[in-house]
Amino acid sequence: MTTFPGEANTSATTNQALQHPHMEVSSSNAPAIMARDLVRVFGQKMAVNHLNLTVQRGEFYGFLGPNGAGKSTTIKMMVGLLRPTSGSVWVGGVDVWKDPIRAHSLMGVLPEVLNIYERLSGREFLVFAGHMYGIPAGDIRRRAEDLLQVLTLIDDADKLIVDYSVGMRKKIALAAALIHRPEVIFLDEPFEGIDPISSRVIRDILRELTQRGTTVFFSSHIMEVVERLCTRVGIINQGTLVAEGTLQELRERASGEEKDATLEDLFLTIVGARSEHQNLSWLE
Amino acid sequence: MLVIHPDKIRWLFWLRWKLFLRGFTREKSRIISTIFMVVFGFPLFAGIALVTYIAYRFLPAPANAEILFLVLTVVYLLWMALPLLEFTVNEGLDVSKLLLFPLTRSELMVSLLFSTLLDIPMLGLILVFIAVVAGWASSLPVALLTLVAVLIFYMQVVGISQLVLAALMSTLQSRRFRDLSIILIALFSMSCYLIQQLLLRGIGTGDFVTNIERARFSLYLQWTPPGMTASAIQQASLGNWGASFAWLGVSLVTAVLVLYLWARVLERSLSTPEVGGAVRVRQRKASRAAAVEAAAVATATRPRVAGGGILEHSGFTQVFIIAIKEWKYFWRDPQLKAMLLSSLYIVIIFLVGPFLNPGDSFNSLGFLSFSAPLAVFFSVFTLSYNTLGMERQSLTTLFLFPVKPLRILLGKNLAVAVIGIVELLILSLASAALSHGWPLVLPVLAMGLAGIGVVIGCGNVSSVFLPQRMRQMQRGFQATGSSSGNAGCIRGLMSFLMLGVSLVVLSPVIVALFFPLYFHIRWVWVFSIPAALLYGIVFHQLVTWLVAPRMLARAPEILEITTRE
Repeated sequence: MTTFPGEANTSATTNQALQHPHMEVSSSNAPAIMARDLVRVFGQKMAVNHLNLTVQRGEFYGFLGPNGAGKSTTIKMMVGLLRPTSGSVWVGGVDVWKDPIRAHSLMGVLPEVLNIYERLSGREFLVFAGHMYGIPAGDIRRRAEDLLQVLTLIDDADKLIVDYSVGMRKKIALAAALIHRPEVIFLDEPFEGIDPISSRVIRDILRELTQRGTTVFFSSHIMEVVERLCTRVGIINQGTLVAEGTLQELRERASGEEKDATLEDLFLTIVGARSEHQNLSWLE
Repeated sequence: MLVIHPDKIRWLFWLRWKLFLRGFTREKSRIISTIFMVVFGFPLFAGIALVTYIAYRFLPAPANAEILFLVLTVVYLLWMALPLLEFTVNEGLDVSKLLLFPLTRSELMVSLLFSTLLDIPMLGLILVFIAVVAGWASSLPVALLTLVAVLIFYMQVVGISQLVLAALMSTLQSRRFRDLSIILIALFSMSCYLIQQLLLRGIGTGDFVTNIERARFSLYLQWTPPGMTASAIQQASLGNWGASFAWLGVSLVTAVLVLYLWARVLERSLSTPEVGGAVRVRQRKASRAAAVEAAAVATATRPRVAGGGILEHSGFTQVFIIAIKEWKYFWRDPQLKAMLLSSLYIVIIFLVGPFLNPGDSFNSLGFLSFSAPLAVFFSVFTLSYNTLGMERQSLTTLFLFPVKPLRILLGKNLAVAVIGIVELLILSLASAALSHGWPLVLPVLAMGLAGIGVVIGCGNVSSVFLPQRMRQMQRGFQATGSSSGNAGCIRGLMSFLMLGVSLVVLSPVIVALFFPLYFHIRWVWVFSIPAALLYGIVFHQLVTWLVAPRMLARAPEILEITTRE
């Protein structure tokens, strides 16, 4: 049983959970991800500014924002790699910073910068990861082979990861993040550097996993993918969560936009980006 | 056709100059290594220049000419090899980055030729060349001819290094070559002591001048490019101007030939698609439905916690798997392999040292038996004092796994302990065989084991509280400077401090071994050695047990230090 802290600074984006600040939530009923008053300061810069966010189980949550908005910083704090200046994060009802080992057993992480063991082969890395998650040896072998097969890495499974292409690295890192069947998967720019075929395979796997109750939290710059996959979207700008909701909800909130505005249009409106054309007359 | 736009050359030189300067402003380590090079490298080259100048001037002919042949040949070979080893750290030599721009072959070549003037080792080379000109300037004509010969030789040296570089471009970009070069440089750096000892012995025996004259290197070297330059200078000093000009002409033709070949190879590399380092990816035609089905199967089994036997429950499997990973890394990662080799080198030096200096009482064979634990102490310290930093970027992945920190430390400790024990066994048995000190084998082994426990325990403390950043994959001579750590002088001092602390903590073990020996009461070993062994084991277990929770608590701070690039 985990008790959540007192009511945080509410904003337009605060959600249901915030309205019941002292509720006790069991791990099984707790939201998949819950961040409360999350702050991270780097020197004079507030990279993440009192961020409150709740993702329910089985959701496919897209986390968007321009470069330097604080996406990766937020994800790092959520997965226990970067200590927040203040605030708390729960994954599956477990406080990431109080019980990191238990929290890590519930999550799979695909970081933006892949820091995997390059001097192991793909197969060795998956077996290693399986053991680290405490999966029985027989299951590790089977799951590793299945994942290698699905992610079309089986032919290169015995090649060292250092010799893999960017896309192959992403796929092997994703396989390692999935091998223990996590409850929550954090993906930071999972489709960057991935070819369309692999991208499709990964998308299908993720969609399938969410249908089976796994929660996916991912950041991406590719609006089409987010639009196609996500059940809910959060937009962060300058460290603050400026909008959150389903695509339809975002459309309704963004006044002045057409009803069929794309996520890209909404995103640009929300973050205040203007399409200013420079005077490049010399190109003519 | 020779098309060179001076403006482009100027901007290419500007680029090289900026890269040269930025190297200092962006990388503090480079400033330190440059200061180190100026403080130690400059006197070294100046010394070489002075010694060779004296040799040219004052050794009798033909010994002075033989020295010239040797010096120019060594310079030639060095300049062929050095750019290869520093390829990835010297952006100015990487032509592939200039391929996007409309530059002619000649422009690229000229810019590269001038760019080499901004390489720090070139300053040393200029000193050596000045010594050649000054040493052979017996008259104005000879001085002029020597100057011209040296300038042509400079073109040859730069040309051949660039030719080798261009010809091996794809190989240089391959991962295997990068790995190999790191290990080769480490081996070269380590073997300096042995080479120095062997060279001193070789030169020290007999009459040096007679030996040099008798060897007649020039007979063979005169047909090589550096030999041609040396022959031109030698013949000019003897007054054989015809032969001198002939050799000079051949030298010039060789230089032009090298430059031409360089141009051709460069041209080929410009027009050939880059394939180095590419990885063949085979796409299987698996249907989407099958893929999703397999993914579902892969993730269908829910249990997350091991349901296996006693070993799995006790966490030994995780400890063992981490140890196996460590061993694989020691073997496959060139940086770690270089560290492992340097630790083995310590052992070798302890073993070979007494034979290189047989007169030295400190290195007597009697000392050899007791040096085994000491050598293993340094060796194990090298591998264990920054065990988390040695993970480099991968530490992030390790910290994301739900593994108890105690198991991580024990796994890493097991890997290093096994290496230390193997070294200890080899060294103890070898030293006993060489010094006939078989009665000392068991005490030495026991002490060594206790020492390994203490050193690894101290290593766990320093790894968690004083982690150091170890830079990822550099090649060339700069790699040796960053192989163990790259976090500034303060951290270096802290490591040194940790070495001192380890020695202090180790002192009871040392006392338990040497006290009974010194006072001729060896029977005390019956008690002192098991006690020391127990001390080592208890110390390691206690320290590791205390440190492990701190590792978990400090994980973000450790990551911030060790994974920042």
